[in-house]
Amino acid sequence: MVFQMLEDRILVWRFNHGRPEVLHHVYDKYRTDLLTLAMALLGDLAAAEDVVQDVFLSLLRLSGRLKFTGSLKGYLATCVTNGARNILRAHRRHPTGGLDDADPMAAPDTRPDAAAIIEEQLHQLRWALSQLPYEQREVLVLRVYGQMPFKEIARQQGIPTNTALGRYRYAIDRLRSMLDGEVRT
Amino acid sequence: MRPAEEVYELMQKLRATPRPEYDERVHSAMANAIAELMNTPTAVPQPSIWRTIMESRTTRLAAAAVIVLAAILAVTFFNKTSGIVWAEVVQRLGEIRTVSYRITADIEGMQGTPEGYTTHLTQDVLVSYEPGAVRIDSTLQLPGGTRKSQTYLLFEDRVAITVIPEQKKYFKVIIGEEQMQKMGQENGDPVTLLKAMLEHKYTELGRKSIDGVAAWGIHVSDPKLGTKMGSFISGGMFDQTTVELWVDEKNELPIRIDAAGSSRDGRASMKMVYDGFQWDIPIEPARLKPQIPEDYELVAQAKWEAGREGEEIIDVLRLFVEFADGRYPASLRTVTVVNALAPALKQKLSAKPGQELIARLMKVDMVGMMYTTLEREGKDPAYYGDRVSAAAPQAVLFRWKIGDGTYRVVFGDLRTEDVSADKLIQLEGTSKKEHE
Repeated sequence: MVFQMLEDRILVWRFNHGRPEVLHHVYDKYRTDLLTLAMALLGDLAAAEDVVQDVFLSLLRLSGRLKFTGSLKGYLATCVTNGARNILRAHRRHPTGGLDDADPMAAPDTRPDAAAIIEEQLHQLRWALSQLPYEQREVLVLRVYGQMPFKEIARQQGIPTNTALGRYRYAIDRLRSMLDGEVRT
Repeated sequence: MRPAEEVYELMQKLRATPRPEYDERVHSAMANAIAELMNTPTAVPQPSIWRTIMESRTTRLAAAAVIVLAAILAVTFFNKTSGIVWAEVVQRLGEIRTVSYRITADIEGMQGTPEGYTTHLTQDVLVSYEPGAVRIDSTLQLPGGTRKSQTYLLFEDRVAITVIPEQKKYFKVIIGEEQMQKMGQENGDPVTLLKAMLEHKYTELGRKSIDGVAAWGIHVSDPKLGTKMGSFISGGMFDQTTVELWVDEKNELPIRIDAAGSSRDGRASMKMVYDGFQWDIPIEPARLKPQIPEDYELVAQAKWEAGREGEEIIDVLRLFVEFADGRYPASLRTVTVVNALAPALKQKLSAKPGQELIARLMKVDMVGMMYTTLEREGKDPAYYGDRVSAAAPQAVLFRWKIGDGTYRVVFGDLRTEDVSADKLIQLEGTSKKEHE
């Protein structure tokens, strides 16, 4: 964690001091997390890919003056979230899919039968995620994939911290219910 | 109902792996945008002062404070055992716009002083990062009296100017464009420093009170520090260097630096203290511009060009043929070179030196830094002045790599020859046998 923080700060420092090419490294470092986050929000691989790419191209315009509070990953996750919102607003559509194109990763030592169970659970999870109200889904994925503190999520969404916490709990409870087959609507 | 942790873990397993063609698309789009950005004037900030400051002789001691602490701090990210979040310190330093501080130094064995005499040096330093400029007001107490000078390093003009008001004289060092760019690409930023520093040992000094302020410190001392980190810490001046850095617990910015350097033969040493740091203070632009009256004489003008370090060192060695009967300095650390050359000059130089000679003598002060540059750039330099003189014209005196597997060899008579690595081994083997 300390190393990651060090590396991120140095990357940002270099980015702000005439080295925009370090953004390639930043992309390689966080692409999976950011694409997963965008997919979870938009449920559409092509749209998610566009959002992540746009975030990095937009960042280049900030070369020399990139500043943020909190972690670099959190900052990027916020940018992706804003991009996803813009897309949804522009297309006036609701996220539908979940993570149908996602590549679930099972533990390497998982036995075939156990892998099949996990795959089935992941399939259910994709569906369940797509059923969550967007505000709850946003808090959930920022927390899980962006690893952002609730305080930061709340600031980003312009809501009290307790509201962000509440949305997260609702989202988790709803997912638990749906995964247990209690809610199928 | 399954526990919340299980849902969280399941979500962690849900990952979207970017397709290779998508990765390629993003990298390509970024590369194009970066190329466009780089071609836009002033779109990308110019190489920062951090990356350039240490290359000037005139500022290296003073500016070392800022550079050194960045180097040392970077390492401590990996050892978060103190009360300071070192990452925050480095970030703060990267955001600093101006700083002023004072250096006080006691120098023993300085050329031109009696044995056992301690020379006192005081420097008041002003640094502005945007625009990049440094001003150093120096006071040097010598046996014959006090000598005052002002040095200005102007990054936009790529020039360093030292003014000596009492003598109505000034010196100028012009830094070549390529050298500036090169420094911007590879020197001085925290990542470069971090890599270098990780090869060395460092220790945490814990917490102590400095003038009533709680501070945390670290210490770096390594026999190799003087060579590998030479340009960052002492501009290649000394063979041995140790540095202690103390950071204010409250504002997490440096409060004091203690540095010590010594030559291998122990004849020269220096102890320095950097303190009185004031961060982000307003500085009148006029204070950073030299005001040189018309009746002041330009004593000499030198130039630092990238990639010519080896040739410049040969030019310095040529001074030993002309003035020291071909007896070369034992090492290419600045202090050793100055100590070896100064008595010979005093003895042989009957008239006042001309501008051309002064310009060459100015290179002596940069020789340690030039050698360090060759080391840092992986040019595999080696110097054998401790056993080779002009009396051994076939012996290898100095060499460095000029290309893949090719070395430029400088012999005792300063003749040069480009040879393969195999041939170099043979030549150095012969030189060693002859010496034994």
